[in-house]
Amino acid sequence: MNDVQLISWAVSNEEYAVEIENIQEIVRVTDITRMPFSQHYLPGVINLRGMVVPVMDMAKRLHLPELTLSDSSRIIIVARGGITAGLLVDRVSEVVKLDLSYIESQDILSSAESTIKYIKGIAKLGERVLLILDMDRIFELDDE
Amino acid sequence: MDMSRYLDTFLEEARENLQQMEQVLLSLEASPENKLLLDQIFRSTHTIKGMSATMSYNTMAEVTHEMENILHQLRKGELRLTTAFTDLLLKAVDLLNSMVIDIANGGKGELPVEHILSLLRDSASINQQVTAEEIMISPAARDQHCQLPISSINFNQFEKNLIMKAIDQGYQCYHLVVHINSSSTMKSARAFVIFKNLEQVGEVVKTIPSVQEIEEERFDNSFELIIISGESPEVIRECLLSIAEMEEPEINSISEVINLLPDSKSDEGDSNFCDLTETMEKPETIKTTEAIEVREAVLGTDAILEPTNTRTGFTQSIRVENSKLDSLMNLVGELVISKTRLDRIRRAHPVPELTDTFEQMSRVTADLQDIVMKIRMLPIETVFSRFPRMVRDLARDLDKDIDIVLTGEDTELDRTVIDEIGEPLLHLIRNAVDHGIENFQDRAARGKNKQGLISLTAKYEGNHVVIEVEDDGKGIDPEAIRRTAVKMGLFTAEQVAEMDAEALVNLVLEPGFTTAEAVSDISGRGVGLDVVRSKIEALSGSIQIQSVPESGTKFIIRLPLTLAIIQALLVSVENETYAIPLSFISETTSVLPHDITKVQDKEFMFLRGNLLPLKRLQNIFQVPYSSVAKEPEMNLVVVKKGSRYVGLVVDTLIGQQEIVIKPVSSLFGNIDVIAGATILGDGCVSLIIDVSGLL
Repeated sequence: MNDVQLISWAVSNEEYAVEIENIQEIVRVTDITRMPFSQHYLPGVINLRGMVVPVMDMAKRLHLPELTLSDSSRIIIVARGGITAGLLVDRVSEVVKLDLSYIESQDILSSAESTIKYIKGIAKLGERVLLILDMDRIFELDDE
Repeated sequence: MDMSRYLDTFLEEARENLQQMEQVLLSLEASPENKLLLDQIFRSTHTIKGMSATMSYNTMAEVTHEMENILHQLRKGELRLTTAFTDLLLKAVDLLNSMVIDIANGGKGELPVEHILSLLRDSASINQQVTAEEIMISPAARDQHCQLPISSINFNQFEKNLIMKAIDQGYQCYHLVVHINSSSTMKSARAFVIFKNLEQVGEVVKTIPSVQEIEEERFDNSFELIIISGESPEVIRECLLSIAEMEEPEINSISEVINLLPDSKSDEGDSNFCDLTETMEKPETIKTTEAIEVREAVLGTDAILEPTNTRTGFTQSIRVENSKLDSLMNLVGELVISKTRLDRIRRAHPVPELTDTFEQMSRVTADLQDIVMKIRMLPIETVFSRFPRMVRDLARDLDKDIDIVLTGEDTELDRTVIDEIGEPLLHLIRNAVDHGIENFQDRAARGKNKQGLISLTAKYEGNHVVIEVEDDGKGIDPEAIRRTAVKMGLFTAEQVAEMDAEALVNLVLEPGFTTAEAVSDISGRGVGLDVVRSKIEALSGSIQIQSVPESGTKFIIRLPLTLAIIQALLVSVENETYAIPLSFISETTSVLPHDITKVQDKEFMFLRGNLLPLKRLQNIFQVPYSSVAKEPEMNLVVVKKGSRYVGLVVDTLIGQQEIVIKPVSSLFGNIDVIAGATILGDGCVSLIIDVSGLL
């Protein structure tokens, strides 16, 4: 019983995953109200059934080429450590059930990668590579 | 009978009464002749005695019993209140408090009381027998004094309070039994006339059976009424007999309401009701000295407190979990949002019926909202009230004479703020007593009044409450702070050289400015002041210090009211909509480009002869330019904070609306120009401008 369930999603053709227990729901992209003076990766807030939830542009957060909104774009609502936020991604792929042994430490990534600190593990699914995000680190403010 | 389920109620009410006793004792010390205060404290003591006896906390009952003896003699003027008495009674209150803590921790409140009991007994030794006899009638004994109840009336809380208030205010309360001639064919019409006539001489509080039943003629030949009136029984009698087909009414004056303790538990589901029993001899005669005894149904409801509360003018209360209030608040918030949406729909599809219904719903929503807001608010008195005692004791220990003046205790704050603000205030006041106010010699040397003064003030300022803690002590020496800051390595000599006195004084709020060396060097200030600051900032408040060396220090705390629903003006810039809280707006106007003056890149205009700085919301919020067409004439929202005014340039004034403040996520860090967000009728999120952050 060493399974983990992940939701995999993609942004700029890179595949990422978030553990399912952090995910509250997945919604379509609605109007985002711009928040002035926010970090560049936090474009603004949305109305999630009466709750004002910040949106995080994952392409910007992970220093990837800018995403273009399309029909497949989604906002993944993540709740973690008292913070609820929406992750704006290109598409949501599937629920992946994995044995923990498939997950390797992120050490095999080159530590030169600036986003390595947001990754807490890597899952290999045949040809596919899922980068598992560390939500605690993702939610930390940084002043770049 | 198992009393454990009443434990929580007992504890809460005991605490409440003890706090009230302490408060009243202190006021009593200032005005020993005030009989009302004595009455109040006597009632609190009596309540505690009764409650603890019922709960079998006999030690507690014993102490309160002895206290009662003293108080009784004070009331009768057989004893005079001296400081020694106050001290003794305060000590007893402390002891009772300790017992309550013991009971809360699972004990029986069995603390050593012999010493205080003997002190109390000694003080009360005069006329002991008389007092004992008069007030020490046990509930059971008292019941025996009552005669057989002739009728038993269920009063609800409201009616009961009304009656007691009326009696307190010198009105008469009568229990009437009216008989309509059995041959009457229009009994309900007669009843109507009875009501109409009685309304002219007083107010009908209750009828048995209910008014509706009487109107529907569901009674035999007689029914009962409770009426409050300023008139004599004779007047009422005549007023009734003037009606056709009326027989001689029974009129009994209720001149006293005695709060009896329960000797048995009645149906606890009925906790809001109490039995009323009258003592009557001959129903036909008019009597004026009858007593109605309201027997409390169950211990463990608020009912037991209410009679005392009504009489003393304290607010009545029921206890509700905060979480329930929060969900109520959220629901009302959702309702307000839906209402705004409905308003849009109504405007798009004008149907008269819809408009009527909407307006009705608006009014109800507004009232509901108003009430919910009020429910969440508590007067700051609940926090302030403990300080006089603390200052008194602390000053005594330190051999100082300090008076504390409270102002604006009725200022109301959200209960979450109330719960948290006590501790920082306590800290500031303790500091003021301990370190701020000098000893007698120093005060004399500076030519100050021997008695030190601490004033604790609360007042509203826009959407904020300002609390000030001010002392007339020695103040804070900015030079000493300058030296200490450098010595502690917090700042360089160059840095502090640039700071003005106010900035320096406020350094004591910095974390790290709290070591022992610093304390001795800067007149003892700084002890944990950073803790105070962080606590206040956690409540989204701010703290600031003003100090004049030799003459005193003032701590100014600003706290949000946390009004979750406010009136705001919606404005737009390009295609973004912002909300400005109405409380910060002084007016709206417009300006033409050529009326704007530029001074060093800053824009100004003259508004009725005064220079008004202008700020363009577009620049402040870096709003991207869009293709929205603009008029040359610009709309202006003049906002104010204190005495500062700024004109905010916006594209369009959309209109005034009530908005529900939603917090923005902590993920954004601290954005000081945004006070929160709100959801508009169309479901979009609009940001709320924090005017104080803009100025």
